[in-house]
Amino acid sequence: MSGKVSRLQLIGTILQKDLKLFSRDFLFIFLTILSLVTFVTLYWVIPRDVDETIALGVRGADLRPALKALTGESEEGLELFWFDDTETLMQAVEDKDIEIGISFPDNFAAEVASGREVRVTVYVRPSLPAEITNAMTSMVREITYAIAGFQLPVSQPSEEVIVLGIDRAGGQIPFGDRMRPLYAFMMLLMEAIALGVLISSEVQQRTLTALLSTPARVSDILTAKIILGTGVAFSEAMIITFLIQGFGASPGVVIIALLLGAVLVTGIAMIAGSAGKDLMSTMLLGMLILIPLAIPAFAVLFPGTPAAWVRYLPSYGIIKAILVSSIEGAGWAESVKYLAILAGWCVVSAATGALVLRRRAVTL
Amino acid sequence: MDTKAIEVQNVRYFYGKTRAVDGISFEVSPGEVMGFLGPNGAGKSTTIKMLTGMLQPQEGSAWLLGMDVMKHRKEIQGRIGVCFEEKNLYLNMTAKENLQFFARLFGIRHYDTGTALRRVGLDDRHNDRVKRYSKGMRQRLMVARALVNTPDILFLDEPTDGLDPVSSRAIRSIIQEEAQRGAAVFLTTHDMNEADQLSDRVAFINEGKIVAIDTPENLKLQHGTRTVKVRARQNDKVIEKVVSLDTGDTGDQLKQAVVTPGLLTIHTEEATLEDIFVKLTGRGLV
Repeated sequence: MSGKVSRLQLIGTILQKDLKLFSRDFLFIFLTILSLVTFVTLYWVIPRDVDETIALGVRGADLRPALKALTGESEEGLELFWFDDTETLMQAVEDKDIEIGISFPDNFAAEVASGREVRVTVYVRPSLPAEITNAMTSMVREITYAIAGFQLPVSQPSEEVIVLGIDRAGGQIPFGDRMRPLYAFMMLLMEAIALGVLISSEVQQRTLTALLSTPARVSDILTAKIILGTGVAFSEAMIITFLIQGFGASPGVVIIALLLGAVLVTGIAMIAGSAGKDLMSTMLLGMLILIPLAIPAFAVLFPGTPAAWVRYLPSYGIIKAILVSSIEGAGWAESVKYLAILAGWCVVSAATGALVLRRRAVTL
Repeated sequence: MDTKAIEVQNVRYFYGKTRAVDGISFEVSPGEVMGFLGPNGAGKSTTIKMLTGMLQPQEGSAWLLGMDVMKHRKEIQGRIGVCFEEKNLYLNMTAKENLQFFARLFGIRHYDTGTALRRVGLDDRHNDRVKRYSKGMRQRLMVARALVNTPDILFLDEPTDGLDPVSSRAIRSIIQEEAQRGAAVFLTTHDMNEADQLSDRVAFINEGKIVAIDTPENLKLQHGTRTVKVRARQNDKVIEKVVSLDTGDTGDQLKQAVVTPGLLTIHTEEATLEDIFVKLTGRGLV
């Protein structure tokens, strides 16, 4: 009574069934919606402007001209507050009204000019980066030199620092924007775990064996799983990227990065789903593999260059491609190397996932 | 020459050094019910896996419907139905959806799920998710699923194991109907009465080898002992006497039994398939 059935029809039928089961998994539907709402809310709630100004408190009214001369008329990056006594200055630092306070002793200028040794105290918050503390102590030294009438033994160019690339002075990337790759990757991660659980239940409930007793082959089942996993993860990542305005200057780069990212996590989902013994172990295994992959997304949140080993993680390509395109405004030329590395990892991940699931299927 | 539904010649399969199936040969004709009996680990499941194309025999040949199992796997799988021991149904789908899904895998676009579910007594629960079904209902659905493609060969692995009498009776009735339709039925079971009632022939498998294969009647005649059990009450005690029907003085012994004072019952007794299995293999079926 059975009719002719093509491989395409078999894959389509299995895909429909998988989609139906996926849509009936209320736990993951709930988690997906919750993640979407949470990430989008976080993105829009985190302040968009970046305050680069340092609030500097100074005790020592007679130093106003010297400080003006040193910091420039614009006082760009510095907001000066003047205090009459050291106690009030210390209190202001403790109360976090100012980031740093410098207490010059009475008659500082006269003492320095006469060549006597004076003691200047710098008060800082515990959280203040060491670089800023060092900069402030250097500034005190410079003021002292200036008042004493010494010239620094170097001639300074008009620009001390030459920025190669985009100068972000006064135009820092807001923290919320830096989190865009993280949000997109977290959505991919969520869907990967959901797919892993779906595969695991197929293995554990032995429905995979039932499928293999029909004209469907292992390759048909694998193809359906890869299409479903990639499709769902990609769709979710696209939705969140759209909602957090993450497509940037080169939407094509971001779309390709998300698509490759979806393939990457689908491969991992197949590994976790095949190896997991039950729902909990599959979720745990999935997390164990996927959470380290989120490290690059966290690494780009902070200024500086990520450690070398972070660049070797499979997910580095997707994070970097999204970052340079959606945040730094870069195009295909700057992103292609990251996409190429990501594509390589996708091949490894999908092939390993397919191999592990195939082996599991035939040994059931 | 009629084509046998199943032809197995000297098939072997080893898991590493463990011998699972060791040179078995048998045939099953269309419309015949073959009972495949053996204890756990005897090689029953491995045999089914090889016959359904899930495992490739390492030696020997297996032909289904005149085709080599491994060379024509897809074609064969379109014409067989398999009911597994595990209730491997999609629990988050309804009975109707389960059947429709499997029907579509066999290329059947508009499958009459109503008739199929009515046959196994599940038509009134067709829209319930399978996770709400009892064990017996799931098993009946498993049988219905194995029949979606009106198979020429039906593989049933412990189809009534642990079921209530009503569900068991329903499944046995379907097995008989399928055999009458012309399907070959390959049945593995622990239930000796079931095998006795349903099977045209039974094969005993032990440690990967078939130790006997014949009709249940012939096996009993060849390997069993026919007896008459006489029970009588004497001095407030029930005593039993067993008279063999295969000795020379059977007639005299029976005459004496009939006139036993306080006679309660006289029953003829035959060896069961289990007795014969134990006799042939030296071990039980569990």
